[in-house]
Amino acid sequence: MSDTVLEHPLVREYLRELDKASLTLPAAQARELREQIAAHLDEALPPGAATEEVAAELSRLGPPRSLAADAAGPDRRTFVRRLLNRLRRVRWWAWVIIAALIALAGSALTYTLLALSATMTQGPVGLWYYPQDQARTEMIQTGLTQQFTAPQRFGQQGIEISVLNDSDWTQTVVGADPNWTPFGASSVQVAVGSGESANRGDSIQGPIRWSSSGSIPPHSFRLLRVVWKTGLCLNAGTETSIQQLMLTVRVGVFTRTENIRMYDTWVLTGVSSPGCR
Amino acid sequence: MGSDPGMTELRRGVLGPCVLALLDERPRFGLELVRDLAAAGGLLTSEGTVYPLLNRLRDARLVTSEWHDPVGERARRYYSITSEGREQLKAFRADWTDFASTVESVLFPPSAEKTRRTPTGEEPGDE
Repeated sequence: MSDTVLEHPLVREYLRELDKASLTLPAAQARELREQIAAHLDEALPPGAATEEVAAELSRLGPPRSLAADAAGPDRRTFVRRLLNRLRRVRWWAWVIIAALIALAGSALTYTLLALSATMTQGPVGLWYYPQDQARTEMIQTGLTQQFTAPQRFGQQGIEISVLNDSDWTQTVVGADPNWTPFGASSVQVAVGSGESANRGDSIQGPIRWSSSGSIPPHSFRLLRVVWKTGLCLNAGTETSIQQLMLTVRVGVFTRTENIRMYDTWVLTGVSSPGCR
Repeated sequence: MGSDPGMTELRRGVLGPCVLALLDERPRFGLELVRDLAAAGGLLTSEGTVYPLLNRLRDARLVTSEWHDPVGERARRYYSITSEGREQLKAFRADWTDFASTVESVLFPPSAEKTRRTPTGEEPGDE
Protein backbone atom coordinates (compact mmCIF):
# COMPACT_ATOMS: atom_id res chain seq x y z
CA MET A 1 0.00 0.00 0.00
CA SER A 2 1.27 3.46 -0.86
CA ASP A 3 1.82 6.25 1.73
CA THR A 4 -0.41 8.61 -0.13
CA VAL A 5 -3.62 8.41 -2.11
CA LEU A 6 -1.90 10.40 -4.85
CA GLU A 7 -0.47 7.09 -6.12
CA HIS A 8 -3.97 5.69 -6.66
CA PRO A 9 -4.52 5.06 -10.39
CA LEU A 10 -7.73 7.12 -10.46
CA VAL A 11 -6.04 10.06 -8.77
CA ARG A 12 -3.05 9.86 -11.07
CA GLU A 13 -5.34 9.80 -14.08
CA TYR A 14 -7.32 12.75 -12.70
CA LEU A 15 -4.17 14.81 -12.16
CA ARG A 16 -2.91 13.87 -15.61
CA GLU A 17 -6.19 15.10 -17.10
CA LEU A 18 -5.91 18.28 -15.06
CA ASP A 19 -2.39 18.87 -16.41
CA LYS A 20 -3.68 18.43 -19.93
CA ALA A 21 -6.64 20.73 -19.39
CA SER A 22 -4.38 23.36 -17.78
CA LEU A 23 -2.15 23.66 -20.82
CA THR A 24 -3.91 26.88 -21.77
CA LEU A 25 -3.17 28.45 -18.36
CA PRO A 26 -0.02 30.34 -17.46
CA ALA A 27 2.47 27.81 -16.08
CA ALA A 28 2.50 29.25 -12.53
CA GLN A 29 -1.30 29.25 -12.36
CA ALA A 30 -1.49 25.66 -13.62
CA ARG A 31 1.15 24.56 -11.11
CA GLU A 32 -0.67 26.21 -8.22
CA LEU A 33 -4.03 24.68 -9.15
CA ARG A 34 -2.48 21.22 -9.38
CA GLU A 35 -0.79 21.66 -6.02
CA GLN A 36 -4.10 22.74 -4.42
CA ILE A 37 -6.05 19.83 -5.88
CA ALA A 38 -3.33 17.34 -4.93
CA ALA A 39 -3.25 18.69 -1.37
CA HIS A 40 -7.05 18.48 -1.22
CA LEU A 41 -7.07 14.84 -2.29
CA ASP A 42 -4.14 13.92 -0.09
CA GLU A 43 -5.92 15.26 2.97
CA ALA A 44 -9.46 14.21 2.04
CA LEU A 45 -8.63 10.57 1.39
CA PRO A 46 -6.63 8.10 3.49
CA PRO A 47 -3.68 6.35 1.79
CA GLY A 48 -5.57 3.07 1.44
CA ALA A 49 -8.86 4.56 0.28
CA ALA A 50 -11.14 2.23 -1.63
CA THR A 51 -11.65 2.88 -5.29
CA GLU A 52 -15.31 3.80 -4.74
CA GLU A 53 -14.29 6.31 -2.09
CA VAL A 54 -11.67 7.84 -4.41
CA ALA A 55 -14.13 7.97 -7.31
CA ALA A 56 -16.71 9.74 -5.12
CA GLU A 57 -14.19 12.36 -3.97
CA LEU A 58 -13.04 13.01 -7.54
CA SER A 59 -16.65 13.32 -8.63
CA ARG A 60 -17.25 15.95 -5.92
CA LEU A 61 -14.21 17.88 -7.12
CA GLY A 62 -15.66 18.07 -10.62
CA PRO A 63 -14.16 17.37 -14.07
CA PRO A 64 -10.57 18.60 -14.54
CA ARG A 65 -11.65 20.53 -17.62
CA SER A 66 -14.15 22.52 -15.55
CA LEU A 67 -11.50 23.38 -12.96
CA ALA A 68 -9.09 24.55 -15.65
CA ALA A 69 -11.87 26.54 -17.34
CA ASP A 70 -12.76 28.15 -13.99
CA ALA A 71 -9.13 28.99 -13.39
CA ALA A 72 -8.85 30.54 -16.86
CA GLY A 73 -11.73 32.90 -16.09
CA PRO A 74 -14.24 34.43 -18.51
CA ASP A 75 -11.70 35.19 -21.26
CA ARG A 76 -10.55 31.59 -21.41
CA ARG A 77 -11.69 31.29 -24.99
CA THR A 78 -9.46 34.12 -26.21
CA PHE A 79 -7.35 32.62 -28.93
CA VAL A 80 -4.42 34.97 -28.44
CA ARG A 81 -4.28 34.24 -24.73
CA ARG A 82 -4.32 30.50 -25.31
CA LEU A 83 -1.66 30.82 -27.95
CA LEU A 84 0.57 32.95 -25.73
CA ASN A 85 0.20 30.53 -22.85
CA ARG A 86 1.12 27.64 -25.07
CA LEU A 87 4.13 29.52 -26.43
CA ARG A 88 5.29 30.35 -22.92
CA ARG A 89 5.39 26.64 -22.19
CA VAL A 90 7.70 25.82 -25.06
CA ARG A 91 11.06 24.74 -23.64
CA TRP A 92 14.26 26.63 -24.49
CA TRP A 93 15.67 23.74 -26.47
CA ALA A 94 12.51 23.61 -28.55
CA TRP A 95 13.02 27.29 -29.37
CA VAL A 96 16.61 26.48 -30.38
CA ILE A 97 15.35 23.74 -32.69
CA ILE A 98 12.65 26.02 -34.11
CA ALA A 99 15.21 28.80 -34.68
CA ALA A 100 17.57 26.32 -36.37
CA LEU A 101 14.76 25.04 -38.59
CA ILE A 102 13.75 28.59 -39.54
CA ALA A 103 17.39 29.46 -40.32
CA LEU A 104 17.68 26.27 -42.36
CA ALA A 105 14.46 26.96 -44.24
CA GLY A 106 15.55 30.57 -44.83
CA SER A 107 18.93 29.45 -46.15
CA ALA A 108 17.30 26.84 -48.39
CA LEU A 109 14.86 29.44 -49.73
CA THR A 110 17.66 31.95 -50.35
CA TYR A 111 19.73 29.27 -52.05
CA THR A 112 16.79 28.27 -54.24
CA LEU A 113 15.91 31.81 -55.23
CA LEU A 114 19.51 32.71 -56.03
CA ALA A 115 20.10 29.50 -57.97
CA LEU A 116 16.92 29.91 -59.97
CA SER A 117 17.64 33.55 -60.74
CA ALA A 118 21.08 32.84 -62.29
CA THR A 119 21.01 33.90 -65.96
CA MET A 120 23.15 33.96 -69.09
CA THR A 121 23.34 36.67 -71.75
CA GLN A 122 24.73 36.66 -75.25
CA GLY A 123 28.28 37.94 -75.76
CA PRO A 124 29.73 39.71 -78.81
CA VAL A 125 30.37 36.59 -80.95
CA GLY A 126 27.65 35.34 -83.30
CA LEU A 127 28.26 33.14 -86.38
CA TRP A 128 26.69 30.40 -88.42
CA TYR A 129 28.58 27.31 -87.34
CA TYR A 130 29.04 25.73 -90.78
CA PRO A 131 31.30 27.66 -93.20
CA GLN A 132 28.90 27.22 -96.15
CA ASP A 133 26.11 28.94 -94.19
CA GLN A 134 28.45 31.65 -92.94
CA ALA A 135 29.71 32.21 -96.50
CA ARG A 136 26.18 32.77 -97.80
CA THR A 137 24.88 34.80 -94.88
CA GLU A 138 23.47 38.26 -95.20
CA MET A 139 23.80 40.53 -92.22
CA ILE A 140 21.49 43.44 -91.49
CA GLN A 141 22.34 45.77 -88.62
CA THR A 142 19.44 47.48 -86.87
CA GLY A 143 20.66 49.54 -83.96
CA LEU A 144 22.37 47.19 -81.55
CA THR A 145 20.77 44.10 -83.02
CA GLN A 146 21.84 42.15 -86.07
CA GLN A 147 19.99 39.80 -88.31
CA PHE A 148 21.87 36.92 -89.93
CA THR A 149 20.05 35.37 -92.84
CA ALA A 150 21.13 32.16 -94.54
CA PRO A 151 19.40 29.80 -96.95
CA GLN A 152 17.85 26.68 -95.58
CA ARG A 153 19.76 23.48 -96.24
CA PHE A 154 18.78 19.91 -95.70
CA GLY A 155 21.00 18.44 -93.05
CA GLN A 156 22.88 19.92 -90.13
CA GLN A 157 22.84 23.67 -89.61
CA GLY A 158 23.84 25.59 -86.53
CA ILE A 159 25.13 28.71 -84.88
CA GLU A 160 27.83 29.53 -82.40
CA ILE A 161 27.63 32.46 -80.06
CA SER A 162 29.52 33.63 -77.03
CA VAL A 163 27.60 33.72 -73.77
CA LEU A 164 28.31 35.39 -70.45
CA ASN A 165 27.36 33.72 -67.18
CA ASP A 166 26.74 36.93 -65.25
CA SER A 167 25.73 35.18 -62.02
CA ASP A 168 27.68 34.08 -58.94
CA TRP A 169 26.96 30.43 -59.75
CA THR A 170 28.59 27.93 -62.03
CA GLN A 171 26.06 27.04 -64.70
CA THR A 172 26.33 23.75 -66.51
CA VAL A 173 24.66 23.53 -69.90
CA VAL A 174 23.28 20.00 -70.05
CA GLY A 175 21.65 20.29 -73.50
CA ALA A 176 18.74 21.81 -75.35
CA ASP A 177 15.37 21.93 -73.68
CA PRO A 178 13.52 18.82 -74.93
CA ASN A 179 10.49 20.93 -75.91
CA TRP A 180 12.50 23.41 -77.97
CA THR A 181 12.43 22.78 -81.73
CA PRO A 182 14.26 25.57 -83.59
CA PHE A 183 13.37 25.52 -87.30
CA GLY A 184 11.31 22.39 -86.74
CA ALA A 185 14.46 20.51 -85.85
CA SER A 186 14.20 16.84 -85.14
CA SER A 187 17.31 16.90 -82.99
CA VAL A 188 19.26 19.68 -81.34
CA GLN A 189 22.75 19.34 -79.96
CA VAL A 190 24.36 21.87 -77.69
CA ALA A 191 28.00 22.12 -76.66
CA VAL A 192 30.06 24.55 -74.62
CA GLY A 193 33.39 25.64 -76.06
CA SER A 194 36.36 26.80 -74.03
CA GLY A 195 39.79 28.04 -75.02
CA GLU A 196 41.89 31.15 -74.70
CA SER A 197 39.80 33.31 -77.04
CA ALA A 198 36.53 31.55 -76.22
CA ASN A 199 37.03 32.35 -72.55
CA ARG A 200 37.47 36.01 -73.40
CA GLY A 201 34.20 35.85 -75.31
CA ASP A 202 35.32 38.17 -78.10
CA SER A 203 36.48 35.81 -80.89
CA ILE A 204 36.75 32.19 -82.00
CA GLN A 205 40.46 32.23 -82.77
CA GLY A 206 42.70 29.39 -81.62
CA PRO A 207 41.83 25.88 -80.48
CA ILE A 208 38.44 25.34 -78.87
CA ARG A 209 37.51 22.35 -76.72
CA TRP A 210 33.86 21.44 -77.09
CA SER A 211 32.00 19.70 -74.34
CA SER A 212 28.42 18.49 -74.71
CA SER A 213 27.75 19.07 -71.03
CA GLY A 214 29.91 22.05 -70.28
CA SER A 215 30.20 24.28 -67.28
CA ILE A 216 30.48 28.03 -67.37
CA PRO A 217 32.11 29.49 -64.24
CA PRO A 218 30.61 32.59 -62.59
CA HIS A 219 31.14 35.87 -64.47
CA SER A 220 32.86 34.09 -67.37
CA PHE A 221 32.47 33.88 -71.14
CA ARG A 222 32.28 30.67 -73.12
CA LEU A 223 31.22 29.74 -76.63
CA LEU A 224 27.93 27.99 -77.17
CA ARG A 225 27.39 25.80 -80.22
CA VAL A 226 23.87 24.89 -81.17
CA VAL A 227 23.46 22.48 -84.08
CA TRP A 228 20.23 21.12 -85.42
CA LYS A 229 18.91 19.18 -88.34
CA THR A 230 16.49 21.54 -90.07
CA GLY A 231 13.12 19.91 -90.33
CA LEU A 232 11.19 22.54 -92.28
CA CYS A 233 10.48 22.73 -95.98
CA LEU A 234 10.31 26.43 -96.74
CA ASN A 235 9.09 27.70 -100.06
CA ALA A 236 11.20 30.21 -101.90
CA GLY A 237 10.56 33.71 -100.63
CA THR A 238 9.52 32.60 -97.18
CA GLU A 239 11.61 32.65 -94.02
CA THR A 240 11.60 31.65 -90.40
CA SER A 241 13.72 32.81 -87.51
CA ILE A 242 14.80 32.28 -83.91
CA GLN A 243 15.86 34.91 -81.37
CA GLN A 244 16.21 32.81 -78.28
CA LEU A 245 17.81 29.62 -77.07
CA MET A 246 16.06 27.32 -74.67
CA LEU A 247 18.60 25.24 -72.79
CA THR A 248 18.56 22.76 -69.96
CA VAL A 249 20.93 24.21 -67.39
CA ARG A 250 22.03 22.86 -64.01
CA VAL A 251 22.70 25.39 -61.25
CA GLY A 252 23.68 23.94 -57.88
CA VAL A 253 21.27 21.10 -57.23
CA PHE A 254 18.63 22.49 -59.60
CA THR A 255 18.20 21.62 -63.25
CA ARG A 256 15.94 24.00 -65.11
CA THR A 257 15.13 25.46 -68.51
CA GLU A 258 16.96 28.70 -69.20
CA ASN A 259 15.72 30.99 -71.91
CA ILE A 260 18.59 33.00 -73.40
CA ARG A 261 17.31 35.95 -75.39
CA MET A 262 19.83 36.83 -78.10
CA TYR A 263 20.69 40.25 -79.51
CA ASP A 264 20.90 38.59 -82.92
CA THR A 265 18.10 37.18 -84.99
CA TRP A 266 18.89 34.04 -86.99
CA VAL A 267 16.86 33.65 -90.15
CA LEU A 268 16.55 30.77 -92.59
CA THR A 269 15.04 31.51 -95.98
CA GLY A 270 13.27 29.07 -98.26
CA VAL A 271 14.80 27.95 -101.52
CA SER A 272 13.36 26.37 -104.65
CA SER A 273 14.74 23.03 -103.98
CA PRO A 274 13.95 19.67 -105.45
CA GLY A 275 15.12 18.17 -102.18
CA CYS A 276 12.13 19.62 -100.45
CA ARG A 277 9.69 16.77 -100.54
CA MET B 1 -31.33 23.17 -5.20
CA GLY B 2 -31.80 23.16 -8.97
CA SER B 3 -28.94 22.56 -11.38
CA ASP B 4 -30.06 24.72 -14.31
CA PRO B 5 -27.54 27.16 -15.83
CA GLY B 6 -29.20 30.14 -14.13
CA MET B 7 -28.75 28.63 -10.67
CA THR B 8 -25.18 27.65 -11.50
CA GLU B 9 -24.41 31.25 -12.41
CA LEU B 10 -26.15 32.49 -9.27
CA ARG B 11 -24.11 30.14 -7.10
CA ARG B 12 -20.95 31.21 -8.86
CA GLY B 13 -21.83 34.83 -8.16
CA VAL B 14 -22.40 34.40 -4.42
CA LEU B 15 -19.64 31.88 -3.77
CA GLY B 16 -16.94 34.55 -3.51
CA PRO B 17 -18.73 36.53 -0.77
CA CYS B 18 -19.50 33.26 1.02
CA VAL B 19 -15.81 32.33 1.01
CA LEU B 20 -14.98 35.79 2.32
CA ALA B 21 -17.59 35.39 5.04
CA LEU B 22 -16.10 32.07 6.19
CA LEU B 23 -12.60 33.51 6.18
CA ASP B 24 -13.89 36.50 8.11
CA GLU B 25 -14.63 34.12 10.98
CA ARG B 26 -11.13 32.66 10.98
CA PRO B 27 -8.39 31.57 8.56
CA ARG B 28 -9.08 28.21 6.95
CA PHE B 29 -7.12 25.76 4.83
CA GLY B 30 -8.43 24.58 1.47
CA LEU B 31 -10.14 21.32 2.37
CA GLU B 32 -11.62 22.86 5.52
CA LEU B 33 -13.10 25.70 3.50
CA VAL B 34 -14.49 23.29 0.91
CA ARG B 35 -16.05 21.10 3.59
CA ASP B 36 -17.64 24.08 5.34
CA LEU B 37 -19.10 25.41 2.09
CA ALA B 38 -20.38 21.94 1.18
CA ALA B 39 -21.92 21.59 4.61
CA ALA B 40 -23.88 24.81 4.08
CA GLY B 41 -25.63 22.94 1.27
CA GLY B 42 -26.38 24.00 -2.29
CA LEU B 43 -23.54 26.46 -2.66
CA LEU B 44 -21.12 24.28 -4.59
CA THR B 45 -21.71 22.72 -7.98
CA SER B 46 -18.31 21.07 -7.66
CA GLU B 47 -15.85 21.33 -4.81
CA GLY B 48 -12.84 21.85 -7.03
CA THR B 49 -14.07 25.24 -8.22
CA VAL B 50 -13.26 26.70 -4.80
CA TYR B 51 -9.54 26.64 -5.57
CA PRO B 52 -9.60 28.74 -8.76
CA LEU B 53 -11.92 31.10 -6.87
CA LEU B 54 -9.47 31.38 -3.96
CA ASN B 55 -6.70 32.19 -6.43
CA ARG B 56 -8.80 34.89 -8.05
CA LEU B 57 -9.65 36.41 -4.65
CA ARG B 58 -5.98 36.40 -3.76
CA ASP B 59 -5.07 38.04 -7.09
CA ALA B 60 -7.70 40.69 -6.28
CA ARG B 61 -5.98 41.17 -2.85
CA LEU B 62 -9.15 40.16 -1.00
CA VAL B 63 -7.47 37.14 0.62
CA THR B 64 -3.93 36.09 1.35
CA SER B 65 -2.47 32.63 1.72
CA GLU B 66 0.30 31.37 3.93
CA TRP B 67 1.86 27.98 4.53
CA HIS B 68 1.70 26.58 8.07
CA ASP B 69 4.07 23.72 8.73
CA PRO B 70 3.92 22.75 12.41
CA VAL B 71 6.32 20.04 13.53
CA GLY B 72 4.75 16.60 13.30
CA GLU B 73 1.69 17.82 11.43
CA ARG B 74 0.69 18.12 7.84
CA ALA B 75 1.81 21.32 6.07
CA ARG B 76 -1.21 23.33 4.99
CA ARG B 77 -1.84 26.49 3.10
CA TYR B 78 -4.12 28.76 5.14
CA TYR B 79 -6.23 31.46 3.58
CA SER B 80 -7.07 34.68 5.42
CA ILE B 81 -9.25 37.63 4.54
CA THR B 82 -7.56 41.01 4.02
CA SER B 83 -8.89 44.39 5.07
CA GLU B 84 -9.93 44.99 1.46
CA GLY B 85 -11.76 41.66 1.55
CA ARG B 86 -13.60 42.73 4.68
CA GLU B 87 -14.62 46.00 3.06
CA GLN B 88 -15.93 44.14 0.05
CA LEU B 89 -17.77 41.63 2.21
CA LYS B 90 -19.37 44.44 4.18
CA ALA B 91 -20.53 46.13 0.97
CA PHE B 92 -21.85 42.87 -0.42
CA ARG B 93 -23.79 42.11 2.75
CA ALA B 94 -25.51 45.48 2.51
CA ASP B 95 -26.25 45.05 -1.20
CA TRP B 96 -27.39 41.49 -0.74
CA THR B 97 -30.10 42.41 1.77
CA ASP B 98 -31.62 44.91 -0.66
CA PHE B 99 -31.10 42.64 -3.63
CA ALA B 100 -32.64 39.58 -1.95
CA SER B 101 -35.60 41.62 -0.82
CA THR B 102 -36.12 42.98 -4.37
CA VAL B 103 -35.89 39.53 -5.92
CA GLU B 104 -38.27 38.19 -3.26
CA SER B 105 -40.83 40.89 -3.99
CA VAL B 106 -40.67 40.27 -7.76
CA LEU B 107 -40.70 36.48 -7.57
CA PHE B 108 -43.43 36.32 -4.97
CA PRO B 109 -45.84 39.27 -5.40
CA PRO B 110 -48.79 39.47 -2.99
CA SER B 111 -51.12 38.17 -5.74
CA ALA B 112 -49.09 34.95 -5.88
CA GLU B 113 -49.04 34.54 -2.11
CA LYS B 114 -51.90 32.13 -2.11
CA THR B 115 -50.07 29.71 -4.43
CA ARG B 116 -46.75 30.03 -2.66
CA ARG B 117 -45.78 26.90 -0.90
CA THR B 118 -44.22 26.71 2.51
CA PRO B 119 -41.00 24.70 2.95
CA THR B 120 -43.13 21.75 4.08
CA GLY B 121 -45.06 21.81 0.82
CA GLU B 122 -48.30 23.04 2.38
CA GLU B 123 -50.26 25.99 1.05
CA PRO B 124 -50.13 28.97 3.46
CA GLY B 125 -53.16 28.98 5.62
CA ASP B 126 -53.84 25.30 5.07
CA GLU B 127 -53.37 24.47 8.72
